[in-house]
Amino acid sequence: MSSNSTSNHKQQLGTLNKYRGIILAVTLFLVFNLAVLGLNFYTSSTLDGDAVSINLSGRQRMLSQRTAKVLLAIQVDAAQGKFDAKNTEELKKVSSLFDTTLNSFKTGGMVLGGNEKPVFLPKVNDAASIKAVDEALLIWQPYKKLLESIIQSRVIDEVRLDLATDYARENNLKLLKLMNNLTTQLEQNTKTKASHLQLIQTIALVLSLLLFANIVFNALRKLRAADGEIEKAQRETTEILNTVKEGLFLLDPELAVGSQISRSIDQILQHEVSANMPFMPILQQLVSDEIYTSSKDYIQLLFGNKVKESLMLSLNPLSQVKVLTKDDSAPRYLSFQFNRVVENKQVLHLLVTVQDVTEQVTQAEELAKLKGQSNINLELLKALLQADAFQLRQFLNHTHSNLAVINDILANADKRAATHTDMVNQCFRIIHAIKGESAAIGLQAIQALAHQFEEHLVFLRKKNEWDAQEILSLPVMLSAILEQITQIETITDFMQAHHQANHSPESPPSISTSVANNLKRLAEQVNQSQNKNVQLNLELTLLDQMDTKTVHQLQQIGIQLIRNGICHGIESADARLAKGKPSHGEISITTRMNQEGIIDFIVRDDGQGIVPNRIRAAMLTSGRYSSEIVHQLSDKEIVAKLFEPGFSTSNGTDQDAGRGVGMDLVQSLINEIGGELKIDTKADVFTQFSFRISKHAKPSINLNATEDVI
Amino acid sequence: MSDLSEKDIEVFIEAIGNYFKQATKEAAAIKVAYLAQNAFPMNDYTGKIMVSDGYEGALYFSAPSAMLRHLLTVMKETNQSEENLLDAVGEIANTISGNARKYFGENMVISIPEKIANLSENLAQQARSYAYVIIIKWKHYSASLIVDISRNR
Repeated sequence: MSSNSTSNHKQQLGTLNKYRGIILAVTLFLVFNLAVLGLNFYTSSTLDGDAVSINLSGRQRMLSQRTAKVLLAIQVDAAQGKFDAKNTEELKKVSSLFDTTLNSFKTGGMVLGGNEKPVFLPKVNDAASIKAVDEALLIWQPYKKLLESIIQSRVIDEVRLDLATDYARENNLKLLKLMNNLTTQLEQNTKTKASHLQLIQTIALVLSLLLFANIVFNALRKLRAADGEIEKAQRETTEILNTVKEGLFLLDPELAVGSQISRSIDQILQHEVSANMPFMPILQQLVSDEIYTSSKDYIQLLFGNKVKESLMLSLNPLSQVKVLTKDDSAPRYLSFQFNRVVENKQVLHLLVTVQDVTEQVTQAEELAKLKGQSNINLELLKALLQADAFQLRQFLNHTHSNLAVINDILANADKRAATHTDMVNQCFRIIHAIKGESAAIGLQAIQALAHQFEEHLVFLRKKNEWDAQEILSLPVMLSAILEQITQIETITDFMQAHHQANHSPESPPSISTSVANNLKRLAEQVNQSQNKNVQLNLELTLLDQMDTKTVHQLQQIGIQLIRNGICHGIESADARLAKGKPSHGEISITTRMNQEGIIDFIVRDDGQGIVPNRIRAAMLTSGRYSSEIVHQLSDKEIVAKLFEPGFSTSNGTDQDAGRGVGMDLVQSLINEIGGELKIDTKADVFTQFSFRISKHAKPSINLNATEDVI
Repeated sequence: MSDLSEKDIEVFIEAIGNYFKQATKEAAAIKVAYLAQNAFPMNDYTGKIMVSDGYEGALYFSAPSAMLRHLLTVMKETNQSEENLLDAVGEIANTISGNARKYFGENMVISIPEKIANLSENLAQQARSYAYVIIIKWKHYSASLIVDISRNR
């Protein structure tokens, strides 16, 4: 089954669902009307039967009188000594017809109708009619016997005749009355039935009208809704086409422009474009003959449907084309993209997207012209284009001055009383901070260089004496970072100048937003490299009230604590689930001001907490600490170890953690700000670093904190 | 722009170290290395060699007069005129260029050494935004090696 037929099937199902209400109502309407029609047929056939009964019951009245009349005529003839065989014959016929009919009223049966044709007479059902028929039969049975004796006798027996006529005189009127009653009752029955039928028909008509009204109402509602949707879609399409910066239109197989065209197209092509206008003459005015010819072939090839669209992308002669300008104005570059609009494997249209890429092209050209910039790393360029300009500038300034500090340490290495280890530790803190910040701002090249620098420092820390190459390696690495920073500065200056020349000034994002963006970017990166899922919740608006130096220091603290939190604090998803925690971890960073205006900076994670015995175990496993030392230290001393330069319980090192410099840096930054660090933690529940900005600088550690610590 | 590696730079230092070792039986050794943009630690006498072709920039070996006098003394050279002191610093620069030629081969075209007294601590022309400054000690003297060379591509 092809995907096409599946989609057709789905489409049909969708239409069915959409009109289900109406289809159901129409079906109901038809079924209902058919039922009423059936009822009508049934009732009218019943009424036909009733008419036969009424007619025959009326005939009984007539037959009873004829019987009496013929009987009296025979008696008159007999008194005159005459005999008329016709009379006897008629008496036989009339009484027999009366008898058959009366019995049929009782039991149901075939009788001769008014037209001498046999007709079925149903037996009477209602009590009154049954009573009339029964009473008539009681009178009729003896009457019938008397009449039969006259009919069967070949000579006139006056005694029998007198008996019969006497009986007739006595009962004739009773019989007539009973037949009359039967007729009236049958008529009454029919009338009742007819009025019931009328009622049913009226109700059916009303219901039928209601159903019809419902159908009409529903259909109108659906139509209105559909019209509304179409109108909304049209309005949205128009809005999109009026707003979108790119030129958009459809091209039909005759290469004419479709009816929906984005407003910007006229400006981009510098040519008025309207519906059904042939596209090729417009193109011919824009590009050289050579490009025009190859474009024509390319477009026809796209309509040809034989070659895959993706394979043809690289062949597009219009992907970046210099367009001919009418006057001597600056050169313009356009980019045309063509996408097939396919239905039932047929290319119906090409969606054409046109962009003015002059700025990008000239920017790239100018960048390439910059001295020595021909090998600009594209990744770096991408990161710079995405970075927040204000933060980037700040980062460059900080990094410049921090690298100058490292250089100063190197320049004065022989004048210092301090050891190589001190020197390495000092450089380490600075490089680690640069690494964190560059990761946060998205400058991976700097991050990688800083990481290399760190690795080298770790190597140097282990050596007491450095040879020439080792001494030289530090400025060489420093130079590599500085070269990169200088390159970034050149590009940033250029981009800024270009941006200012081409755009109206925009206000930069707030400091807290920039810091939040950086921290989120870092968390995302560390999440990826550590294969963790940690959500970052930030409330940093108070940063907007602080000086940039403090903000920068707080950002660095945030960077280190997020890195540590994700690498060491938050457990793996499996471990968390095993502890009954949600699979994703959370780190929140909050700035809060109390009534006295003192600001707290709080970093809290819902990870495994800081557990002294786990640190002890990790210290022993790392093989860097003897069992004696490890067990001599108190719990608080063990936790305080986290803040010592070079302390790490991690066996391996990677981009994110394991060098044992993060907490050392945090402590040193807090010392710089002049604050008070408080650590609250509970095993398997949380760790919170809260930092009150004041003049006190020793960390206070609470290993048995409750969860509602703030 | 590509940078020199520490191994590249070490070639220059080794040349100086070896020169001192051969001439005085006491090698000169690197003590400190850092970067500078300006205010280079120039001493009384400086030997300068310029490079071109695959590289651009210059290299400076700058020594104080006391160090050069001590060197000449150890080498039993009694004439310690300024001309001779300049020759001494020029010879060291020449040794550096010889070693560099061997190491870098045809890729580096090296000029004849220039001898300069009292060179300004700020350079008139600079190839690198940050040049390497290497402080080399021989006995208790400190000389400077300034490497302002960058690789073209």
